Amino acid sequence: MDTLNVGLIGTGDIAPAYIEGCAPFSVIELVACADIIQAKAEAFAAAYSLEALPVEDLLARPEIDIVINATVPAAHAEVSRQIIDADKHAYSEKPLAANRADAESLIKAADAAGLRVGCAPDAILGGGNQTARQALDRGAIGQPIAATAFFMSRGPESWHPNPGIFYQQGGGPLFDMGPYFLTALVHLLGPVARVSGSARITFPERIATSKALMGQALPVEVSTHVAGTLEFASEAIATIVTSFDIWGHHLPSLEIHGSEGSLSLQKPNMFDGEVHLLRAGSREWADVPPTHSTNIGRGAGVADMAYAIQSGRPHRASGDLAFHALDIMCALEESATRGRRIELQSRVERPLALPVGLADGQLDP
Amino acid sequence: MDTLNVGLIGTGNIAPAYIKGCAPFSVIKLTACADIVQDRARDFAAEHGLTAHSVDDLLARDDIDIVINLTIPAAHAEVSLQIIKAGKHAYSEKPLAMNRADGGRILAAAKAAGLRMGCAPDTFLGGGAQTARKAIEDGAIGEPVAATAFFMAHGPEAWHPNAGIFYLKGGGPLFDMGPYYLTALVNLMGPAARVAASARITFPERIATSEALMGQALPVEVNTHIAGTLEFESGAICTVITSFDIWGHKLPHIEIHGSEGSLSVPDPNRFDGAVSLLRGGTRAWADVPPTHSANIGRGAGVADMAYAILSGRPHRASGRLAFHVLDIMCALEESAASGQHVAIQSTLDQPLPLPPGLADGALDA
Repeated sequence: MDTLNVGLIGTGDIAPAYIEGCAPFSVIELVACADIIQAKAEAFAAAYSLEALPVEDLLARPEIDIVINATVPAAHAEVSRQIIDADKHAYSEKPLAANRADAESLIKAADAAGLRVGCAPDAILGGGNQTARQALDRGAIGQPIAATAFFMSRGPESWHPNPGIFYQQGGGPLFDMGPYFLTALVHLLGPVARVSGSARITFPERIATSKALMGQALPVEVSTHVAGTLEFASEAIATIVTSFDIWGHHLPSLEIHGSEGSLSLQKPNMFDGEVHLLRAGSREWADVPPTHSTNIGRGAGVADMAYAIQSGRPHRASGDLAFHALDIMCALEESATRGRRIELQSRVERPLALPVGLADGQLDP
Repeated sequence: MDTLNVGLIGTGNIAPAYIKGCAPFSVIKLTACADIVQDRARDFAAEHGLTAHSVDDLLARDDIDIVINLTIPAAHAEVSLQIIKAGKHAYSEKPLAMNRADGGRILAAAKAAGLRMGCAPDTFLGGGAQTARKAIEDGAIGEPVAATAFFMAHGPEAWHPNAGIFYLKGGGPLFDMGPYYLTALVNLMGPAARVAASARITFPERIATSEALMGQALPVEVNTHIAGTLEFESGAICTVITSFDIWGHKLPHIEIHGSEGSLSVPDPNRFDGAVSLLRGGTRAWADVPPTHSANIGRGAGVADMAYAILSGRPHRASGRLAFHVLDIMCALEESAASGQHVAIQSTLDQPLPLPPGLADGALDA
């Protein structure tokens, strides 16, 4: 398998995780980076032995095959489009776009150009999610029929250095954490057909309690508690809550219920995490022996896309999957506002399960 | 305080629990029983020191003030109307009625006659629920903003001698177990204003695995998984699931989340159970010291209604509360079928909290 060269646009907080996560995969090599602040790109390049380039120059480099878009969320759609227009495969940090129209036109442009669009999160490639997928596919719980998914916290204002953005358009618990839970659910249960939701802005402002911002009032523009149901094409029903309003709870992150048993997963936003199985008629939960390595991290989706580009197979952390998750999130908000169930327009196949027995640093057998 | 005489119609499975639960309360005295099967009434009367009557004769006795309606669910509305027509206060097992029209007729008839209509469940008078109520009233969690409530099991076909009725019209997890959960929620959070739901008949038939019915196929007429959200008049949003489809799960029964903390509430199908509290900003749950006795059982709602009749105060396990709960259940089913969020037309004040420090057998201070 050849090695594809990867460029990185946006050398902010998340960029080092990509460096670390991409490193084990010989199918990709990070060679260059860019940032709207050139000095930041240069410092980053020096730290990680990359070449620092202006964005246009990076996009003009013929030896770069894939560009990771790690810019700020508001710039994702535009930068990804530039990458596609420069005839390179694009891999975006989440979210793919701020709205459905931008995401859709991006995917269309890539399809027309014969290019791939990938998108975080890629935690579905982690050992926890893949071990659960393997259990599901071998029939451990029979036919999946229902699920629950809960992300509930009291928001980031007690610790985050810049919590204000979490309460502005494009933020909120649904758009921040929903992509992890929704891609995990679609990875396990397939596409969602329609959704219903209730949502609220619980507090008109939040008060920062971190040392840096103690006492600062943060205005709230987005729903901070979003609760709803997802009806899958398979007819399974998932209950979901994403919230920044909750001090504490005893809810498991993710459970999948089937005709023959139930599976309980730990945080689907992590690459590790145990999976527990309860078989029909039994009262005891048992550990599911891991079938996949947890020695994998952010950026695995880029490596997977590189394999896919070369072999022609579909890639897993795809733009289509991210678009479907975005469609679900937009529809939950719309349902809450309009007071009716929303039919989803997007459809996606379940991403391919990872094969078992892969060596670390490998994603195809 | 005077003692009111109580008659009982329907001497089936649930009747002994009422005998036991009413006994500690000197404000009521069970004196007579009736059953459509006359022999059964005679046996029950002999065992519990009551007089046995035909239904008509029991209703004609002028020394009976309150009649408990323990007939089968399909007969509840008709028998409750007969009791009211006979000029007696009525207390019905759950559900109040199978539909809103019958429920409304009962409330109207009772109101017109100046009689009380009470209805199970009365588990919210138990020590667990009242301790939780007092904690909320005392501001332990600030303003309630959200909640979760889950009843998930694999249905009664593994053990129930007459499991089939749970899958016929009027049954299902929502109408069977929903009243406990919804009554508990209204007791803690006030009335619901709007609901949205998804529901399904997951399996077209169920296979009994009890000794008595082993292998028998039970047809399914009702939804067996109902998942939705309740939007309360206060603005709080509650996620609810009732299901007969689930082999196992790790979800807590009821949790109430407030602006200043979270409260974990015991099984609403029981009168006892520990309440625990997590205060905002802390990480440790602590048991809330019980403020109310758990030494109370089914029938407490009848005794409470007797106190209320004598003093003129509202009774707690009221027909209006049961109607509101019925309204919510019907609306959840309607929302699932129509795809619309459904506004709840009925409303009411939260039932009065029980005073703390009551002696066993007393319900007024």
